[in-house]
Amino acid sequence: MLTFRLVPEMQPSTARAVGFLEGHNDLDAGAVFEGLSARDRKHFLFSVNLWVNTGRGPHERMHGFEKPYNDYWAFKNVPRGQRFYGYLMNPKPIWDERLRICVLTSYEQKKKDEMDYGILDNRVRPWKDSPNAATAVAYVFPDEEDEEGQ
Amino acid sequence: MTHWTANIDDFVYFVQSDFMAQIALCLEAESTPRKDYAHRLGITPSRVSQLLNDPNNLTVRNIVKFARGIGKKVAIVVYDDLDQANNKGPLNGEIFDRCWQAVGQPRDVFSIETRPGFAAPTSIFGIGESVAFTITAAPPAFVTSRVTQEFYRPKSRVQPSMVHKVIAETPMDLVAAAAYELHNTGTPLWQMKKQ
Repeated sequence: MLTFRLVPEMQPSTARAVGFLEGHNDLDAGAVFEGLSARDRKHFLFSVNLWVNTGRGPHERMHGFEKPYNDYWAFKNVPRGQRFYGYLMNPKPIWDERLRICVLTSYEQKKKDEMDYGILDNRVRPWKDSPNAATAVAYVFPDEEDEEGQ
Repeated sequence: MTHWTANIDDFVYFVQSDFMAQIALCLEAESTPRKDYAHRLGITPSRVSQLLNDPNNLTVRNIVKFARGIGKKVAIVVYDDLDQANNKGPLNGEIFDRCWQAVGQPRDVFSIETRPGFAAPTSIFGIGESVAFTITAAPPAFVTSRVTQEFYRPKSRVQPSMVHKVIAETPMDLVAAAAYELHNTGTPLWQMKKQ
């Protein structure tokens, strides 16, 4: 069973959130995150925090991709060769048009800062198109009124 | 919930990283090559890259030097976000910069207080009286705090009781920023109707 877990020790903002899709052997982003050294963990958490609260960040830390990959996203630690890949979506198109979340699925250890789009095609896209993944995300972000009942 | 910046060292890491991220974004926006920036600072390009990725032990002197290296300035701001336990973590510096831009880049506190709309919150929002808001448009990016969190409810109505509670707990400068926008844009953020 797939689950979606928000990045721990951090709160979503009013318009952005980041989490890990988990529950399958190919979904390794969450497990790798849990095994990061304290220093690498802080680097990742700051990058996520920056995107969640400002919607942007330096290219060395994060970036999107050009069409047709514009719904994908990467958080990077270039000196350490670390890449977390995922896709962007709005899980609440009816009740919160502004919300955009990053669903992290895959990790790659890279020596060179060159993009291999095969990672997006083969390791991220299947989850982006998966109804079960959408269900897992919807469990955390149901497209309905918030708890204040507005 | 504990935020990852719960201890002082991690909070410092956040502040340093946030500063260097602002520098990196400025360099990207101006398409300034790292080597040119490094030359201005009198350090090597690899040292610049190192600092951008892993800032450590930045002194206030170096913070000022790095900002001046791209023609910018720095302020160290003490703020109260009503989160003494730090469950929500620090705010990013860009938020303060955007607020400052949004209220017309005042150079002193006196010119803030005399701006139209600044003193308006109590009269506009009517603390103590029944007011209903209908959201008519998304708020601007600078309204990024509790004001947005509590008021921005697309296709929905904000109940008077919540408005009063939020205003009572929201730092007045943020309420003022929202009110200022309301006064000075052709399209109001919220349609208001006294009840």
